[in-house]
Amino acid sequence: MRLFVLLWATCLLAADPAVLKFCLRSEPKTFHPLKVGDDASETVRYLTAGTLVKINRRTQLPEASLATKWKTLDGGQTVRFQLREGLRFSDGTPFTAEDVAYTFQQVGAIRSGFTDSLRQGDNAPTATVTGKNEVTVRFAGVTPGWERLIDGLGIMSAKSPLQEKAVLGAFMVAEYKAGQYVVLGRNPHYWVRDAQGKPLPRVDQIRMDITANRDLELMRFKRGEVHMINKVDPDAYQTLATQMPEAVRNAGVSFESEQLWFNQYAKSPLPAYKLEWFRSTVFRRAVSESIRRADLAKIAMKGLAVPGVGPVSPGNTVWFNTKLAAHPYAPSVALAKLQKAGFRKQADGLYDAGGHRVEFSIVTNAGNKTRERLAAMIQADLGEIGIRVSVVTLDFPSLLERITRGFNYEACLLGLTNVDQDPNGQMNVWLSNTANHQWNPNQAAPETPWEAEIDKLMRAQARTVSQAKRKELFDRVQAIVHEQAPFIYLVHKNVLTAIHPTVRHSLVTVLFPHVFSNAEEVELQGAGVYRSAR
Amino acid sequence: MRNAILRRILSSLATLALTGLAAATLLRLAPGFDVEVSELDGRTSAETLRQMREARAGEQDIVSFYGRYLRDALQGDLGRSRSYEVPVTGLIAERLPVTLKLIAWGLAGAWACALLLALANIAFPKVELGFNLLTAVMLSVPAGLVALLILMGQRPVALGLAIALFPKLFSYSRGLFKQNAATGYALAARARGLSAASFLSRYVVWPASPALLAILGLSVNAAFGGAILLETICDLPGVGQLALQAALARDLPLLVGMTLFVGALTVSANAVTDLASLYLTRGRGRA
Repeated sequence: MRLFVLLWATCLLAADPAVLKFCLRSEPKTFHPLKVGDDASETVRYLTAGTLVKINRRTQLPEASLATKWKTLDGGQTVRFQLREGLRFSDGTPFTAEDVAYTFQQVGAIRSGFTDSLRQGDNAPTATVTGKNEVTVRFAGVTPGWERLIDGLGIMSAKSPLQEKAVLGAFMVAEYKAGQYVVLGRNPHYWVRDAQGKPLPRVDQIRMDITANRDLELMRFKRGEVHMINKVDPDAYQTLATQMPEAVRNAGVSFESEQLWFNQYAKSPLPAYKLEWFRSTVFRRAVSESIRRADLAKIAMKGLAVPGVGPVSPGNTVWFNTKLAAHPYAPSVALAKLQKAGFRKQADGLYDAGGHRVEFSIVTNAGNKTRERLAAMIQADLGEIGIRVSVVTLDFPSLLERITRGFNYEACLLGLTNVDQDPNGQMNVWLSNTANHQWNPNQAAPETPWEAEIDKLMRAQARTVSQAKRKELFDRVQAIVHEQAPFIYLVHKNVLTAIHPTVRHSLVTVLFPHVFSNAEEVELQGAGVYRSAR
Repeated sequence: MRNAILRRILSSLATLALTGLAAATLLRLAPGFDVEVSELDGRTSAETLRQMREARAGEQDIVSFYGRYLRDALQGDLGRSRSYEVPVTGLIAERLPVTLKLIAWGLAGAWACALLLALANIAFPKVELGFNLLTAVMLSVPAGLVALLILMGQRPVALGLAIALFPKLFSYSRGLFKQNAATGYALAARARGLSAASFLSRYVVWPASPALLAILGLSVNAAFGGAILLETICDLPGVGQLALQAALARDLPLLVGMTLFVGALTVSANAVTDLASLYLTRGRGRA
């Protein structure tokens, strides 16, 4: 009888695997760990890939993973890794030093935003097997903060017939239906155990439904059909906070910002007088100082953000320049500065020295209610100093074409995501000769002295090993950006997430991925007996 | 009849080819056609950006792209989706059953209600005002709202499609039935004491069948249009949702493949209903 009950219970529990469910808001572009560039692919990579070193999402510090220890040599250009022994990929293929060397070889062969972050100029790092379970990686130059860079480097198998599909992370891709869902299964060879010595991960599967519809995601969360929401909009957060207060989590200020910038590109089809305004620091600062940031944070972001300061959010405790504060709201001072620069305020608005009415349009992406609200509030604020602003919303590809190809825009409001804690991750934004130097890209030589100084400082910090010295150099970059306002930082958003009460041991972190950074440790209420029995 | 069928097939093929070309041209000319979101990734170097742009160079000349595409399509290859990185045929095959089921149930529901209520209106003319009100209300409710209500109420999505299609089908059917019921021979038959059932079937419905068949063809087109909206709002993974995603992602191979495939289905449905209608009309002419 006992045997029968045991068999019956086993069958019942086996038929009901613990499946953690959440949504991806876009299609994962790739499952190849080295080609990852979008949030959805990054999520899959984070959950499936094994890395040499891992940034602990709680402490924001590097810790051992596939490498048990490492030593930095040659003044920071070379790192020797001692690898963990006896590990296997998800298909059973043994993990060896050759796999690490092969992965670095692939970094050199594959072009993507991620592999570019490991390059210096056009030169990729190389890896050599220097002993049993020992690999020496040589970067193209001194690479401070390499730990954070290789936190995203999923080690691939050199021998597995499954190639990059054989993984060393907690989960592996089990099923994928394009445009519908991705199911991750438990990696049977995952090596990490919990504090009690039990194997991880605790859930059997992760199901990620692909849906861009945030309202639908929220509705499904309320019904208990999904367990987590990684990013909740301020509006939805407020609604959820009243309906399911136990489910919402606010982890504090994120690394993300909402920012406004003017088009300063010389070859843009803008009239010369507008280009002259946008290239004027006085004009940009006047605009910045006429925006009520506190109200943007309080009203547009529902109090779930802080006024924008600069390129580094106060949430990035390591790199934020604490001497800086958000530009003050001082419209009368701003107007006085503008008048000193030749602008004049008349009854119907502000005019420049040439008699042109000061007016411009702000382009932003359609469908983002928060951003549309920010734009409307900026429109009202600037109206008070006589600047007429119109807001144009475009679908994302159209917006991208305007700001990266035709340059046929005047000002743009967008949110830029800094997934990388280290300033090297922003290199292609700050260097004046890059395509991502949005306000004035692809400059043959820096067109302003302050951009020349930023170029110099960014290159210098990238060559410096000392963290204190790097911080000093990057603090200066932040100060210049604060002073010159090529980007007008509006708000830094909070990390807002939702976790269903049935999920246990969850952790919300400021670093990406906020809500499932410890997915392997997460447990679902009601499925614990089965798991602990194994 | 044979010539009519041949003409119809040729004109359908020409329509299909032109529709595909129009879709490809429109998408090619749409702003943001050749940009990728990943271009905003601050880590991406100039060389990688150049390579990404070069990879899309084959889609710049729309005429040569479409020529190549049609050639491959004739061999059953609809290309590879740029946004999903999988073959287009696989994507369509995966999602088509969802849409076909939605459309079949939606059309069946809408047609059944439309025909029954239109006949009820003929049989009981006193309730016409009530039917008019019902139609006016249903016509004025946006399909998007219907979709939202279906989603929130967790009702079958096909019900939403039926609700969206019903008012127009009802109006057309009722108009045809009323016209037939008012003809001299119908009135004479009724005056001779023909039963209501025989009157409705022989003098109201049967003479309207060629026109109803033509409307059936058109309703298939309308159902595909409605499916895009409903599948998108209700998050139903069908070809309608896929078509919208292809347009938003500026995914040329997928959008052209979808256009050709869905176009072939609707053109075939129209051709079949037209030929059936022609057959019925000719049959009656001979009789």
